[in-house]
Amino acid sequence: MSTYYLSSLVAAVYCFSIATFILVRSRRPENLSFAVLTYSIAIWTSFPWAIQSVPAQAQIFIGRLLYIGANLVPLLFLAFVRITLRQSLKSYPLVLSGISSVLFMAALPSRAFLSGVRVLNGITIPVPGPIYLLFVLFFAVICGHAFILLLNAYRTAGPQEKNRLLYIFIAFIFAYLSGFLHFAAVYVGKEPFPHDVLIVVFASILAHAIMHHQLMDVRLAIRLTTLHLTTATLLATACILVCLPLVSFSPYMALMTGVGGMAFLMAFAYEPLRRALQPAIDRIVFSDQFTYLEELSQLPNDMLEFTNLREMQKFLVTRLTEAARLERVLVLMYDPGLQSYVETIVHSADDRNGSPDEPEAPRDLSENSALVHVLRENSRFLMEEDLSRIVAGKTSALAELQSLGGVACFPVMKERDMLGLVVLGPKRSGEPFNQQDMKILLALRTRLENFLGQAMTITQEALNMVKDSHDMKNDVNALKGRVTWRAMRIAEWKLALEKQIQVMEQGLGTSSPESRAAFEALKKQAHEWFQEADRSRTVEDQAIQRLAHRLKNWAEYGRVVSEGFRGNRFMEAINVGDAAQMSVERWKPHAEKKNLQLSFEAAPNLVVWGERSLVEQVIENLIDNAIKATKEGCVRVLCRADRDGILIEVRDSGCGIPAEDLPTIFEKPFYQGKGRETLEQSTGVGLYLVSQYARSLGGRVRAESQVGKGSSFFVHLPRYNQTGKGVAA
Amino acid sequence: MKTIMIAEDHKETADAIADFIRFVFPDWTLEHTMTGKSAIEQVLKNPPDVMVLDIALADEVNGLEVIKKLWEAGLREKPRVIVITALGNKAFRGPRAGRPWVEQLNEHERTLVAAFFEKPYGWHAFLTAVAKAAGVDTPDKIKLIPDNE
Repeated sequence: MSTYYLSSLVAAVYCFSIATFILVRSRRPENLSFAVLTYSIAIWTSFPWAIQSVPAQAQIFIGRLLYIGANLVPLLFLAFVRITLRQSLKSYPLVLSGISSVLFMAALPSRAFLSGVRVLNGITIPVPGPIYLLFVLFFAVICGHAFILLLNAYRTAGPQEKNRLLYIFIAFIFAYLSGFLHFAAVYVGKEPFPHDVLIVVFASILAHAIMHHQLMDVRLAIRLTTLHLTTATLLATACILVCLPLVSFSPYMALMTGVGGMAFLMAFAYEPLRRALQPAIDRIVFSDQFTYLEELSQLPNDMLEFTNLREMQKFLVTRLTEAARLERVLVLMYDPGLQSYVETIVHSADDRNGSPDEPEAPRDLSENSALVHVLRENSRFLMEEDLSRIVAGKTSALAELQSLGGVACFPVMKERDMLGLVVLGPKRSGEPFNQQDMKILLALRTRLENFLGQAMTITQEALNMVKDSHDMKNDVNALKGRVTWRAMRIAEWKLALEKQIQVMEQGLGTSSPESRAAFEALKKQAHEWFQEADRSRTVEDQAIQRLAHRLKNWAEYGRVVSEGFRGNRFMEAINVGDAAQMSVERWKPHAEKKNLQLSFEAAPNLVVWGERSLVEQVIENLIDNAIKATKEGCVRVLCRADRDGILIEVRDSGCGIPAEDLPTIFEKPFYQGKGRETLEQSTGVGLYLVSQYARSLGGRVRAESQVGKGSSFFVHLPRYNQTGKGVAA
Repeated sequence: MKTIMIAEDHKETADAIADFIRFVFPDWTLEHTMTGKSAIEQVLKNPPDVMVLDIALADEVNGLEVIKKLWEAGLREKPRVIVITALGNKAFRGPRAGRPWVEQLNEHERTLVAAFFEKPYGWHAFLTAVAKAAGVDTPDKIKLIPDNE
């Protein structure tokens, strides 16, 4: 057997086995949709091997059929990417694939698409007809579009999201590469590389991503597909109804009208119709079972995109209560500081406002309590009857569950660590949990575990940062003490010496001019020494101040992240203009010290939702940065409404940033190598924190600069509207 | 003649404080401890006039708990406590996490606290606060500290 057929067989067998493996491992929806996709790929890749011995005519026929199917493959990939990126499907790829399907369908029996097969070195390869090139172009356009989408998403993604995207990215490179290698083989007339092997890599990467990142949800895909198919069918029926009467008049005209009308409707009527159909289909076909899935899929998977963990928890818990029609839900999270599981959120059906802002005494469960012990051992969904048998220590797990007001509970696990537990109240109807409830609960549990796992990692890092900065602040404090101590002793010596000099000067009255000159020289020398000591102290002081400022920034960042996790942050509607004006007032003295003009301009009613101190820190860090970078001229702060939110601009006439450094300034602590002396007292972390804080407010930052002329920093923040908390721009 | 206790687990900081105290208040008696437990023990045995208390100490008893224990034990006039910390101004644990550290104490316990300093602090202000807490006039030697903080 040639390597070509062998690779086809290997890829098919591999795809079959990995799909089965994933399916057997767990019946999570992600796994299910991966299995469906991979089984179809397996059937696909098995074809060259399976049909090697059938007659040439049959091979051409099967080949043509496969190409008609292949027409849909790039579209499926595109849909997969869009669903994964939580974007809605656009109508243009549908239009394109509709038209191309019609074209290829029409060309199927003719030799225009595939003109035959040739056998070279024992391998059967199709011979392309003139239309074949169109197919390649179509494939390339859809593929390019998917890659641009992925690149765009990758550019703006946070670190956790990047991880997910990277998997899709690499997997799809292999998939598309395999496609293009096939086209190359068709045109060159020989198989340069057994390209089916690439499908093995594609399937492996996706399988890994599915297991670790829960990439897709088949129910959502089914729901979307039903919706799109219904919409397209309705439009097509309308077209057919219009052109049917024309057939008797002129078949060509009927065809032209049909295709043109379909293209027109696809472009303009598709989206409105789909939006109108969505609620009806959800209600009739799915009896509203899956509506929560779409909302879940809209959730960002990156913690930093969340302004507050509490908000995310509130959302999930509200969905949990409503989807399974529960009376109440209580979430307890592990707090390493207290070594127990502490109540972070409670939501009950009657209490529409959610939990009060400052709960009086949050309930907690000790790390060693019976319920925690049982959940850690079993790590699954447990109901009252499961717990009734288990008694550990003095209290039974059941009593603990009941004291928390629950009838069932499940742990939130990350690998072997138990991050928290969710206590579920009884159903509002009083019935026991049924199969459908369990499905919903499991879907939400997976989400919760995913989020809280990420949150825990980030928080741990943040807490380490706070701890490190704590140790370093102690060191800096001691260092500052030593510097001050020395300055104090020098001041003391100086006083004593000055006294001594006075006494000596009086005693010198009648001495020789030589002694007097020697005395003057000594006096001058002492004076210089004191001046030198003073100068070096100023330098040391500045260094310590810089260090302290930097540490304060780090500690603050750590605090923001860890408090976001614990839900301690205080969010409110903030008028950006007012906040910016206050920041500008605070920095006026610094600007005046350097003879810089600090001006301010703001449009009215620019409101964002977030933590006030973050908005102020974003603006102040930028002003600080601008003042440091500017020797003469002005610093301007402008706030205005933008197309997609609010734009804060801080513009300076300073030293500027070289173009090659611009892309990295927000990424990591940054020192400007060439102009370090111009950026006096640069703490290096300011811009990084600006970008992090802007992200946590749901916004983004960018910079423009010309060396020697100045820089402009732009912060886009989502506008707060009274109905929603404008988290996404 | 006054007594001062330094409860601080960071050795360099404790040494620096001790050096300053010995220089500015040469006649004061100085005690030092690194843990919360021994701080409570020593203060109950012989209450100093002033206590410089770090929040993070070498054992599991933190500075705020030390203050609570001292209040419970009935100490009212002495010691006047100066709280120092490198943990930032805002508390990340306690009943009102997210609010300043001193607010984690109740209104009675708070009367023991004379001042709060976030590290790194200015030593001029710190020593002035120590003098004020001890109820003595600010010594002239403090003026030797360059006041640029």
